[in-house]
Amino acid sequence: MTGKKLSFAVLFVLVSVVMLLSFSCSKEAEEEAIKVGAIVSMTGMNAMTGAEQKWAYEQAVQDINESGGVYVKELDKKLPIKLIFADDKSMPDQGAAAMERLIKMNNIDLALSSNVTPINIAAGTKCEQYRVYFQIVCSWLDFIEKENFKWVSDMFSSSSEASRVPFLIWQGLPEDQRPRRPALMMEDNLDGQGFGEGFKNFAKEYGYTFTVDEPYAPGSKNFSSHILKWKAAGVDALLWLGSPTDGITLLRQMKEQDLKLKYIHGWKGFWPTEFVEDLGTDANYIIHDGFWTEKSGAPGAKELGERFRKQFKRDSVSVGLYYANPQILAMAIEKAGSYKSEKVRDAVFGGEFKGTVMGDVKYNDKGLAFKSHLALQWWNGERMPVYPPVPGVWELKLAPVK
Amino acid sequence: MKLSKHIILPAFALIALVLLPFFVNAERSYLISSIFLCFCYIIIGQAWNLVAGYTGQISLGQHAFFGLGAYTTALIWLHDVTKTGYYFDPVTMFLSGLVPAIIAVIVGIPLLSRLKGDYFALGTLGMGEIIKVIFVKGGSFTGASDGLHLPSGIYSSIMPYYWTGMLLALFATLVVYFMIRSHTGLALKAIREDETAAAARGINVLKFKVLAFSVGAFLAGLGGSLYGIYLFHINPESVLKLDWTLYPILLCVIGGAGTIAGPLLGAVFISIVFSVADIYFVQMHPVIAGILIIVVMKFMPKGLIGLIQKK
Repeated sequence: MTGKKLSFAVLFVLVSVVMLLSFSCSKEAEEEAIKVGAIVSMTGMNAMTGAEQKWAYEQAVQDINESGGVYVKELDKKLPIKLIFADDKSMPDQGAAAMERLIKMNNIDLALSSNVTPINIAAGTKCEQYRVYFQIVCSWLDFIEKENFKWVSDMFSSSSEASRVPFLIWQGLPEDQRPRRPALMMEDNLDGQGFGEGFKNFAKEYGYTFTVDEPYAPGSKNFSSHILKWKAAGVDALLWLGSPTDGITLLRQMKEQDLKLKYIHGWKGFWPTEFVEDLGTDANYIIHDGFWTEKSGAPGAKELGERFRKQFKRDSVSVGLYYANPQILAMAIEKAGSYKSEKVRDAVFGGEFKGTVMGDVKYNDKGLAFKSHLALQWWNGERMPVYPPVPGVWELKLAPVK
Repeated sequence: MKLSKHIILPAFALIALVLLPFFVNAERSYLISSIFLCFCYIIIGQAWNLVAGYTGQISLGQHAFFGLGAYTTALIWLHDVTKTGYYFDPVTMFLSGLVPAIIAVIVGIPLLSRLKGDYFALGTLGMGEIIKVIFVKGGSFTGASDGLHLPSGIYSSIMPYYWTGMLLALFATLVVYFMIRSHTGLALKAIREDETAAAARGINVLKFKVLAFSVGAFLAGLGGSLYGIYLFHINPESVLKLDWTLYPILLCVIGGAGTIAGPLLGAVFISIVFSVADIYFVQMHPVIAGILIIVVMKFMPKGLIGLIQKK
């Protein structure tokens, strides 16, 4: 019996080695294509947003290939893109391992990112080591800039600028409609502390003072003390950051205790579809964050939104950002006339790419492209763009207080 | 016959591993990277093997020692403490083992004197999580949740990682081997079998348990240091995650806990399983890896080492 088991173990090792070797050799026989590796969170706590990212990458590459592929001038022909995914398991070190696998095992030409800053930094470090161009979206620009990467670009907002958005919205309001006594309520963790500092700094810059500034413990079930303090202080606006569950609980309790604020703006917890499904029309007037809107008017944005909704029966505030990544990469290859990492990188750094689903995208000389964080307002189950303003589509509505 | 079994085979394997990089394109070979990770698994596997496999103290706080090793390296490097070069610097690596070992003594004395069995396991788990929170809340000193960034531009080749990983894996294995063959090893095994009987025979139970716990922490810290300079970005999600406790348990149980060769076989097995699952079952790898591990445990309850020992 033990002999059989030993034979089984030896067989297992042999089969595994053959599988690994055959995988390495199989690339020789593949058709000519531009091999683009993408690390995506397919498992782990980030798997939900990872699934959106994977879908968007696949859609973009499918569209590019259906249009004939990418024209590579130095070969004088169009080549299809072959997209190869690796799971970063929602962890930075596994992001690095996944990127190393893509580079060494799959022999990729270029790489696309995951959607979490630490994961992309870890993977970016590997790309720097092996000199493979890595095109990131959805990672804070200020964090990526600190790394001084030479082979990495990034399109997103910066963590500090994201906190500026509500003040820019308020500045756009007539003087008499601007909040006078805003409150700040952040969940008591690193996200909340980071964003909270940003809000406080910008409040000073724009001449506001938070009448009540109290964090809360994530997962709290009773927000009465906050609500009572806001009532007593005559608070008229709220900047909030937390989870969807906490957000729904808070807004329900505010309604029960008859507290109405003309401006409520939430980060992280107010954008999921579940939020509006739970609150129904009570979500009207609530403002939330996002990275992308199909109502932006950018080419293809509306169609992409419809395609996503048709497949998943909900909408998204991010798929456009992900879809634009392979789009820009394909444009950069055509601009460079080559799919060699060095040439594509040089085409992106300092380059401008027009007509993406994110609108026109301009990278600076360090390979960073700033895209403002969005503010969207819930209205009868739809998200309407508030900031940056899209003329003719929607204007911010302040909630009636009396 | 005995010589060939115990010396020649490992020596042959070692020579093959030493020569391997000369026969492949090491810089572009995924095999070399995978073997490097396998060496890391061996280091942490032997560390846990000493504490749990030989001493019978189930530690669930190994991730804290692993992370402490990585953070110690990063902090020494970034604050220019020892002025010894830092990148693969033996002094930095030694200190990265020493710091977790000292913490293990400080924490181990109250835990090991008061708690036994499951309670000790839970105590170490709690310690690990406390240390993780301290690093997350450590502000600019620990880099909070963003962590610490080492100058990655210094990287030039995978080979120093491969050689150092091999040396440290060999070192960890030899440390456990010689400890177990000494009087200390007898005491540890006696404690594992029956603490009361060991104490009755005059063995200072607490002293030996703390010794095993701190040597295990030292080895885990060395592994953390090496992994830290491999990543260049040390953050709690990467080096203080619970996986660094679960991996050594998994590979010791699969290979055969309480044996020298068990962690080696287990590390090779899980490296192969993880690699094959990651490549061939991109979205299903945890399921495939889980099934294979269940199969091994079902049909080889003593671990892979049981196959060889029975023969």
